[in-house]
Amino acid sequence: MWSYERRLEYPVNIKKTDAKAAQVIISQYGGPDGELSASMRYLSQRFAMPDRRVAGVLTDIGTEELAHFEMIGAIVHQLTRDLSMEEIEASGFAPYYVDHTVGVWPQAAGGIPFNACEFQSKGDAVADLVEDMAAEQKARVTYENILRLIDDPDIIEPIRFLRQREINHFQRFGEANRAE
Amino acid sequence: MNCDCQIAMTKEQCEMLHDIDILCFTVIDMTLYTDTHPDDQKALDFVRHYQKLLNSLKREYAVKYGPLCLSDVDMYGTSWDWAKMPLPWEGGCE
Repeated sequence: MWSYERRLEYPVNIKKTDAKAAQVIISQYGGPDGELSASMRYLSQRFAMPDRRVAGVLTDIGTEELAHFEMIGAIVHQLTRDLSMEEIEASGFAPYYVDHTVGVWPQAAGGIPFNACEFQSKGDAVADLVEDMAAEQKARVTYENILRLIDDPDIIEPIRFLRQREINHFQRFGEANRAE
Repeated sequence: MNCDCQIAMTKEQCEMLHDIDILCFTVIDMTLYTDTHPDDQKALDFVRHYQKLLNSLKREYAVKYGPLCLSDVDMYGTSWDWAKMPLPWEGGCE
């Protein structure tokens, strides 16, 4: 069971549209190391996790990832909502636009759709937790790559927040793995 | 759809929301810590203190500006405030 809060975990207030930035950031919405993959991975792994405390960590981190998924959606939305046709054509956004207009759809930066094959639910505590630690590191690298590609402080702030969360989650999964 | 939810938030409302964000983040992060350190008394006292502050600020916010979650909805009001609250991806705060 979940309940919704009508606010973001960390605010997103972007004033300037930027379709190029949106096209790389969308990878954290539906890409291989994105927030949707993270959330579905942890929330799915819980059921076969033998240790109740570890299943609790997966629940709480999996829930926070849903909030991050929403933040990325908000970033992509604010970067694309007021685009002109000229900007769409000049920024290489036309292939996305033709299929989705400016709807937010889970895909990787390269256009590959979200796919559950990007994560595992192996039913083994050590295998799953070690995958989770690796997933946090891969997401951290993706955020660092994004930070090298953008220069608008309005985008940098929430992306830096999300990058830091990967580090905290990595730490907690490491502790969960030792406790298990 | 005719929608009256696009009204920009005042500076005061943005500041209160910002305080809620800070308190809630503190609770989220500390919850993960206490998940893996369930017997750390100092951490438990810390998270309970901020949880209390968060709960009271959220109630105050709901009275002033409307509910952020269903449990804060005024069930006896004359209209369904929950439907009229801004959506979090609208942005608009500095």
